[in-house]
Amino acid sequence: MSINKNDLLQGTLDLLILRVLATGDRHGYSIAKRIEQVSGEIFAIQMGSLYPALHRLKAKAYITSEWGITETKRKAKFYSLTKEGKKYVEAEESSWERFALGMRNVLDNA
Amino acid sequence: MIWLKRFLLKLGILKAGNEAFREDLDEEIQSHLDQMIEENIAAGMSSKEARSAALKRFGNVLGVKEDCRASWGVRVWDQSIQALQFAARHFFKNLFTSILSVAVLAMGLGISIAMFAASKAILWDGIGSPNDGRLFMIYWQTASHGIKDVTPEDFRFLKDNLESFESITAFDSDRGSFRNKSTDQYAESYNLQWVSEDFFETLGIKPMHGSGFSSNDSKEELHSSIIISHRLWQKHFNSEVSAIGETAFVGTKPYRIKGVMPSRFSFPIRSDIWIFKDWAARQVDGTPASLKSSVEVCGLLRKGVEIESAKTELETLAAMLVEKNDSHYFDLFKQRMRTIVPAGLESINGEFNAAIFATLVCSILVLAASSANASNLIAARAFKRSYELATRRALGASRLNIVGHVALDAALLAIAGAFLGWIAAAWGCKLMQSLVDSIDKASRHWHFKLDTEVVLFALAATLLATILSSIIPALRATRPDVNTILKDDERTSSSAIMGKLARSMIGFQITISGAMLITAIIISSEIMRVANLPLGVDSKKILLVDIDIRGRGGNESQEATLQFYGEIKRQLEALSYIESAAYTQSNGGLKYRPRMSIRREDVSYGSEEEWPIVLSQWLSRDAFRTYDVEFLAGRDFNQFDRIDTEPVCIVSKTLAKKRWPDEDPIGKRIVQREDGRLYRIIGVVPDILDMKSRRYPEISSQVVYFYYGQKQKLGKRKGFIARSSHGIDQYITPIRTKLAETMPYDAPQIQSFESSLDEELAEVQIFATLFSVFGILLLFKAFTGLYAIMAFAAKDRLKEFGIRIALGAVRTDIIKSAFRNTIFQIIMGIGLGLGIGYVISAIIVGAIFEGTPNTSPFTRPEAYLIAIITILTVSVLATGIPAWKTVSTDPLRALREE
Repeated sequence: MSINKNDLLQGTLDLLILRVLATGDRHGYSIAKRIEQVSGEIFAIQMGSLYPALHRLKAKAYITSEWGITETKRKAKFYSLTKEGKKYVEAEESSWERFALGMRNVLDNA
Repeated sequence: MIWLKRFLLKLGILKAGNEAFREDLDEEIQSHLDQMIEENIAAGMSSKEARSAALKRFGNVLGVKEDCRASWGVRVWDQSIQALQFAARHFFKNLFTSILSVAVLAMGLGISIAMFAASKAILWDGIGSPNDGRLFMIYWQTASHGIKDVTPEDFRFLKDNLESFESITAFDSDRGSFRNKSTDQYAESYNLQWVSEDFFETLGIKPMHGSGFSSNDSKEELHSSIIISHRLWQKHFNSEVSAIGETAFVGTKPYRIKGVMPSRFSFPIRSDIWIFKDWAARQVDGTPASLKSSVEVCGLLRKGVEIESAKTELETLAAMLVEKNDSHYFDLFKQRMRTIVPAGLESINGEFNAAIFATLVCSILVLAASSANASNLIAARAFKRSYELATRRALGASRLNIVGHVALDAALLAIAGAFLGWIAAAWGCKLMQSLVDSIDKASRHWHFKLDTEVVLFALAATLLATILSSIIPALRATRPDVNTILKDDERTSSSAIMGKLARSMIGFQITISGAMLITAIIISSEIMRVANLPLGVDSKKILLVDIDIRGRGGNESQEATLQFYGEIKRQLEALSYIESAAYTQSNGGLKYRPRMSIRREDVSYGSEEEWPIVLSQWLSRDAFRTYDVEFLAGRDFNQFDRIDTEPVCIVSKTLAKKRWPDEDPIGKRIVQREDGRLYRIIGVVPDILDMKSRRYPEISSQVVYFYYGQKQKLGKRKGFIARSSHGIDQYITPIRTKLAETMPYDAPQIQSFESSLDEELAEVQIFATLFSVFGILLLFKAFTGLYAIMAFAAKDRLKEFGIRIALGAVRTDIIKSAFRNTIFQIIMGIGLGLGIGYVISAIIVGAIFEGTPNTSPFTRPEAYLIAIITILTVSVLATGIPAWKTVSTDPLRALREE
């Protein structure tokens, strides 16, 4: 069963996008596909939330964008992580891990 | 710096404009869709199916684009641009009221800010030092609010013990002659200050060239150098920096020029030379410090110390002085001391405070009136739009959106008005400055400048008032029961509310203008009256020569001093163009005469306090010949009147009449309370008034003249008078050169009596000019405000007038009805305005001219009549012109008017 946008925790999508971009520059379609792929098809990204999230992150200066050419020789806008973005990911990742651990502990031991 | 990066990013998007952003986003989403379609085709779908599946999977493309734009704040930007366009459209659609509102606001703001700047410069601006606000004059004050001298010993005591102050300095005013020996033909007389070494350090003002005195300077250096004013530097050293280190003479002593002060520095007022004096020494000028009186003390309050705690400390120190029970502190023994006045302002001495406070109050009232006036117009505009706003609300526009649009419309007007008002105020300040600077005889150096805080306050107050006044009608128009508003015809409740507001505004405007106008007229006419009061001598022919021989060093005998004065008198008389010369008190005895108690020898009183008060003057022989007055009875002083003969005096005509109504005063004797001697009256002369008390002929015309030849102790400062048969001004330089031969180091002050009179009135003249300028400007503002209100009301009723004219109404009847609507407010405004004006002018005239002012309508009917006629004319024009213009409109066009 996949989890759509409405079920994702607030702010999770931003972290997912940034984490994916931490491995290299990607365009919007590729970001969505990569999240779906690495989440084992659990997260199905809605485009209605992907693009506003990308623009939100760009406005916050966590990512930048540049037009480039895809593997299929198509023009697309590629997003890359900025220095501020990298710092943000690191901070968010550790707090997310603590959150996940807490959840796990509650689910296992409650 | 991430916030800056974010700000620049957002700014970049806004700068790039919506179009570029839109295109970029379209292309990106299209690229995304194309990749999805390509993948779908690769998975075996037909191109149609692939496209449809991609679109379905992507979702609402338009919604995504909007959300993306919202992420950048583009939507807010769009809405703001839209609102601005809307407000601009409304501005131009109602150009008439827009311009009126802006003009009313600009004028009101401009005038009130300029008036405030003037009041502030005079009332609160210190000496232009970074230490202003912490500098205070320190006096002893007795319980009866009398000021008691601070002695140099007190200064030393305070210097050693006072902790609330970072430093304190002492100084004393004097006059001295200055001469740059290499260039000046003769010495000139200036105000000089004897200051302690930390004078400039305490004040926090450094010379513009050279250096000031410092506590690190050696005593030798301190005693041999002087600091000069900018004015003196310009005049005697041609503004050359090489003046520093040059030698100049003050009296007979040479000094090295150590520093030149900046042009606007003049502390205490009108000083030109500052010389060091060791005020903290045990002996000052060879006299024990405790016996030498009168030194002024100024202190720099420590940072963070409250003035109240400084006062408490001073009181404690005063108590310590009282405990010493020294004779000097006898008065303090039963009384408490203190008083601290901000430095630089003490010189005002309450003389003009009332006048300036009145200006200050007026400036606040003007600001209130202009804000209320503009608010009234803006509210009227908003009320007029009630129907349109209610319709928009009924069609689904949000209330916030509508109110925002209306507020923005008002804000635009307010900003435009504020901007123009700010320019007008800056221009007004420049004008006032040039006005004050042009009256160079005035002894104060005020600096009129815009105060940022005041400007911001005035702008904020105006903005708030105008925006609020627009929001209220907008909220009313968009209230939930829209139906009521839609049914509300323009001539019903909204217009009724505005009518009341407008009428109260008319009354308010006229009141303020009337008050200022009557004040300006009364002060100006009072100055004119005083300036034209006959003194009893021909001011154009009299020359005043003041000589101060205190700085000559010697303690000449009485005889030698008399001989010296006699020599000067003879030198003056030897000049071909001088008809007669004499010596008397400073300023030829024509500026000020001391009061004195006398009594007739044969009349006794219960106590000395009851003795009649008269004015007194000491003079030499030929003084009355020089004044060019004929004796009414008796004779002048002559060579037979000597110190060892019977004391004699001459009395004025009024005094003779008052004290000896039915007798001949010649031969009668009077007793002088001061020296207890009996003086025999030998002559009666016509009344000669002095400048200071000429406003009150009751007192100033009762004068007793005494003879210098019989004075027990002669002063070292004398005023000579000389009379020429024609214009005396041209002889000033030759006389100065001639006198310099006898006394090269002394600087006689020489001026014609006429210029002395001008000088006397110069400062008062500034006030009169300022008030007149404000009065005229306010009148113009009242006209504009009134015109704006009336024109708006007339335009509002254009359709109604059209119908009435179409139905046969006579145009003059309609104009009459416009007057009927406002006549009550005009009359009330005039009445109140004149009443307030009477109070203000009474305070000001009383303060400036010292005495009971005659400013009531009964004593000055002409002033009130001029004010009433002027205000009535302005009101009639402001009411009549718009009404006439409206009724002159073609009825058909009027009926079509919406």
